[in-house]
Amino acid sequence: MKNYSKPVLDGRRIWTTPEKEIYSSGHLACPGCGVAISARTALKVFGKKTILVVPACCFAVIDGPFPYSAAGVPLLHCAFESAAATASGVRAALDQMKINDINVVAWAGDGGTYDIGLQALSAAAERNENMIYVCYDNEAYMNTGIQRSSATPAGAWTTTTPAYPGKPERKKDLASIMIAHKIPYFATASISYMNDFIDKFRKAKDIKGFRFIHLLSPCAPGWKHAESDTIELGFLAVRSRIFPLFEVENNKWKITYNPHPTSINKYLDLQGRFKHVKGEDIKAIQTEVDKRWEELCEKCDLPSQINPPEQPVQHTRNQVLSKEQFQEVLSKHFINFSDNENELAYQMLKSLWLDKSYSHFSDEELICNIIARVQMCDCT
Amino acid sequence: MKNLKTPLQQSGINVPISGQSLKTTAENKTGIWRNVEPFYLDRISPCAQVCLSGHDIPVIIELVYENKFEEALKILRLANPLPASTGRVCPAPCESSCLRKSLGGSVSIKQIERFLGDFAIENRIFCLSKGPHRGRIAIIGAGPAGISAAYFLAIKGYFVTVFEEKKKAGGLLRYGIPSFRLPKRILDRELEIVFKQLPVEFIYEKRITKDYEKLLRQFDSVIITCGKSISQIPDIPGAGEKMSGLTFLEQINNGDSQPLSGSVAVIGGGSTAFDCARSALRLGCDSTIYYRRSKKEMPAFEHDITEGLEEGIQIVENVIPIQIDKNGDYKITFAKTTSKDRKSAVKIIPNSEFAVTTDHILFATGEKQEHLFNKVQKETGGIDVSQTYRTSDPKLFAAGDVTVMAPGTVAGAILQGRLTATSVHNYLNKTTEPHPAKIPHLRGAKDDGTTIEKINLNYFQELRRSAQKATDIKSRLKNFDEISSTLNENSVAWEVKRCFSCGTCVYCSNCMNYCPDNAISFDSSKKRFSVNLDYCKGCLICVKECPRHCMGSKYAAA
Amino acid sequence: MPRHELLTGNEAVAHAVAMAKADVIGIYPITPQTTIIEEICNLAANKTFSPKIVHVESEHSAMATIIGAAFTGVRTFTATSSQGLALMHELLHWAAGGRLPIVLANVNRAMAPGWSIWTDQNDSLSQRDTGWMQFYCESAQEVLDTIFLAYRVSEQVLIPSMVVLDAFVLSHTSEPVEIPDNETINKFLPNFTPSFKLDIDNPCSFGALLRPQFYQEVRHKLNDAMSEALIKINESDKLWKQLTGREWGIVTEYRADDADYLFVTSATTASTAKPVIDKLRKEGLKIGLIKIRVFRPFPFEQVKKYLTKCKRAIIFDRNISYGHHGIFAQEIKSALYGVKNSPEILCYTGGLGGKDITPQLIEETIIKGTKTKLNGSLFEWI
Repeated sequence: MKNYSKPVLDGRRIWTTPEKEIYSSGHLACPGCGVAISARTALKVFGKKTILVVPACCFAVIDGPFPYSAAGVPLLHCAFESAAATASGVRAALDQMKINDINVVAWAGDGGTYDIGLQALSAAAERNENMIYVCYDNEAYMNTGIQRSSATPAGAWTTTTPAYPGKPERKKDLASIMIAHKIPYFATASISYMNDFIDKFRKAKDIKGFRFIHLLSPCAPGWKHAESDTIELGFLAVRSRIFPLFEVENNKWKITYNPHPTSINKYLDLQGRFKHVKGEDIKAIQTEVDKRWEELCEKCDLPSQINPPEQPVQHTRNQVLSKEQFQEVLSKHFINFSDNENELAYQMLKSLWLDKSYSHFSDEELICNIIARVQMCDCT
Repeated sequence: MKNLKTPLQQSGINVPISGQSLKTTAENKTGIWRNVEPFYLDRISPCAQVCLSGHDIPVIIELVYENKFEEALKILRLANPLPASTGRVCPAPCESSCLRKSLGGSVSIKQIERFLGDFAIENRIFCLSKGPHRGRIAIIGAGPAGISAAYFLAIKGYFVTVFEEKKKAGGLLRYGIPSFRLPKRILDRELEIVFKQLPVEFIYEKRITKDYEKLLRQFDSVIITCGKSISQIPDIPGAGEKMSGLTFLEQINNGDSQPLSGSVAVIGGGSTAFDCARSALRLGCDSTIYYRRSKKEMPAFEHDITEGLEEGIQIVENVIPIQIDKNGDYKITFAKTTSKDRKSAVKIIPNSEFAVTTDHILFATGEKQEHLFNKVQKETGGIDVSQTYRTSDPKLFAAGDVTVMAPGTVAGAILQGRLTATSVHNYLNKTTEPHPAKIPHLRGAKDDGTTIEKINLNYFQELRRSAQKATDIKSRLKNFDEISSTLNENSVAWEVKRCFSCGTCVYCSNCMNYCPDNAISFDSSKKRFSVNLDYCKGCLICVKECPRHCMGSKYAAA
Repeated sequence: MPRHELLTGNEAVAHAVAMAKADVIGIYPITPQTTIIEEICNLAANKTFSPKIVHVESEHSAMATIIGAAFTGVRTFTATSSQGLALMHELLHWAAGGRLPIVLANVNRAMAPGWSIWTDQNDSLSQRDTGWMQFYCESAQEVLDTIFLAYRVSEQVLIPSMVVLDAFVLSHTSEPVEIPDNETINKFLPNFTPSFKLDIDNPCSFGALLRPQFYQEVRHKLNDAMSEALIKINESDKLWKQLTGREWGIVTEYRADDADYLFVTSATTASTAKPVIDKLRKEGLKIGLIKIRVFRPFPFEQVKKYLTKCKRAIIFDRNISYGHHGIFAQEIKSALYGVKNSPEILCYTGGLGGKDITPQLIEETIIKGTKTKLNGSLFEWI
């Protein structure tokens, strides 16, 4: 069951976001900006006791020119390459004043993180500075008008990789770089998966030391996608495993959402920057994505399931879940059975788990089925 | 030097030396960037569109989701006073149109209705009259349409007198539908909680025919809802009134049935045919259904056919009886037919006759109406009514199967009863409402349809429909007990969780949470979201990410 | 009671920073500055003071770090030299534009290539237009005293200060230094109360986009504050004299009152020049010495006051603006433009990359300067 981490989504009460809004309207983000949503949500999690440090990046513009600021928390603009260092200084000063309850957050784009800011970032990570570094990665220098960065994926068009086949080199594997620093917490997050996003920010907030959160942040003008597709692209990036959601806490890797994979085609199709990418190029991208996924799964101690078989799927199950594991799964489904019902459900599980005629059910489907069966029995 | 002021200082503007911000961006009205604009729009869900009695189903389901059963019941009763009954007998077109179908099976809407109906019965939640009491209405016939009209008039405050020729109220529900589908106990208790506290008087065993004109003088208004109660027996040699399927069912429902033996041949392909055949099984016969078209053209509901087959009914397709001979048992001569569809006439294949011997024959080949109301009734057929269920006599209304608009289902009759009640009310209050609304509390939706493509499936996963618990087949056939049980609370919770709530906002807050501009807010007192157009840049993420198609957009330059 | 210790210039910096109780110190080594941060770490290790020392990975980050800290409202310090200062260049603008009272010690070292670790002033003078105050010191005592003054004035006018000392000749040369007691320091340098900071109760952004009408406004104020700084330096100097008996002035004169010739220079060259002045006076040459101690804000009035009294000024620069000549000389000339009784001016540049400036060299320069027949201005290499 460890392959599945998804609660039953019924589309009704989807996200549990904190109520208090901090971020102000009227900011200068482009319509449909992914960063604006991320910032708004992250600030809700961080709360008022937060200091933001922002290097040159889209967000430096989004927050507003003098005399305005949208952030609602103190925000320090700093030089492009110096977010991590400046934030270190803020933390040092707070430490010196014995103030412990303020979150110091560096909020930087991919240029300021992957490229020009990497040196200061690496140093701050090595010093295990007590800060949260959030890289919102829109995969190019968007603020200056879509120039290639080391975060730009292979094949993408930018104004500085205008000719076919787009950017020839692959995207820098920043995750591995950061994790190699043995920082207390590393996570990738997408605003599309808001619960996961909020969980990770909450977790990061509560950990001491250097925490790094990598956000994939769709950018309508830069990726050449419809403004309304921002969230959809997040979903597709995660499901196609282009941007897996995982975290590394104390050197333990964990995939936080293991999707049934969809092909990368739809993700690419929605974006004008990949318009020229066809046939063999797509295959090459898919190969790279699969390779990375395999590596990730290996680190997370998971079977990779690169190419799950087409219908009918045959699920082989070996060991019946223990009663405790089963309880855990039930609680994930918000199921609150009586003792009798629990007993019945577990008996059903034991009899169906290894039954070949149920092998076309995935573990989750089988359990849903059992839940439904128990629910229609009168167990009182 | 010190006293010198900078140019801006001289004009009274003090820029801080380090250029720190002085205010939020709130005064920067980014709405002027916009050229499209989102708006909220509740749409009628596919299930509500086809609902025979006009329920706004997603609203009811949302209340059940919140465990507000009584409130859900209130909404349910806005359209239908008999959920426990219709929740058992309705063909549920809502479930066929349910968009959840492809993702684990349609939502068990009918079972949810049944659950709420049983909930009302068990908790004895009586229907109450709101109105100032005024006006007297007579209703002829206590079938579904009559009960419905009586209920909706009574809660508006009218005194209603219902004349029923039989011993008890219920009409088809009582005398046409066998107990294994709708136990009489349920019907009795449901009628009790509906009418006990309403100003409705039932006068039983009173057959009104030509004397309805007398009623017109005694009452402010009269509604005819007496349905079709006579089997239509085809005109073939040997056929007779004794072979009426309806009469057979009525006898059983009256408790007058005798055990049968041997075999029964049921002619017809509708629900009545299956009810007859299944009842006969329970009385100890083998049942065979003979239908003039093919099985897939049968007018019976799918669940009738599947349950009937489960129980062991034989079906012979494409045969038509042409002669019946009585010689101890019966000998029926059939001819084989070909059929194209339900509308076109069947063709008899020449020289294809064959004979079948059987102990009993039941005709379930349709019902007809006696010619009782000569002034308003067509010579052969129903009462002619307008769109507002009014006859040519302004005081006289008619609804249900007795009219030319015969709905053919219990739920449809209940709808017509309700609409007629509204028409009567309008007539008596001299308000001119053009056309009563099918869905009683529709929230002003202009519908442009919700399809599975418009539902954002990112927010739903495949969840399997919970099966209904049914008695096993052997035990079923021993008696007339109800074969299926009502879903328990857990299963209902599971089912409502599965509902997409197509086109109806359930306050999931996706629009608000995903707005990059923080331009959407929720007014908890009014229970609605609104877009602050001062800031909305028109990205339309809200529209796209609404899981259930409750938003739309339009071009609108700011 | 003050105490006396034998300190190098670098140690004097460290001791002064410790006594000023700097809160956050970003450190990164570079010869010949390294001993400053080493001494700071020692002083912190033996609890003389308890700063938060951030061991950054570059001078750029050192400055970025203390900018962050200064914006959060604490007293900050860093030290560097040459290449390190050049790497900081962008952030020097950031510190001044942010109006942060940061103090930085720069040990003058020549810029590469070819590598040189020895002194000249091109590194700090290249930062002339970043909006920092610059103090050029000639002795370990002056270095120590100037650090306090720099903090005091910076925190009054909200402009960062660069205290500059020559590599090795000052940074690594021990001298007896009088260290004032803490009481004196407390009188001179009150605790830092920032007038703006990153404050969660009053959330503001700092450094956001300034549109043209606001940008110049803010820079105008920075320039006004520079003017005010001269007044504050003067006031502080007087207070320092009251407290310790020492004053360093803005422009320091030595036997300049009745001089026909003035030898104008800065930093340690001035102290090397003093015995030469005495010797030449004895020989009958009416020569005096002017040391420019405060380079930014530039002391126009003081320069005018002294230089209009003499016939000829011999300016000695340990720096060069390629394509022009010595930088102090340029500045002095610009101060005297259109002024009545302006002297004749001779510009000499020498001692680059640590080339020794000996009394003999100074004497030769002065003799040369007094004897040269002047036709307009003059620039020569020494």
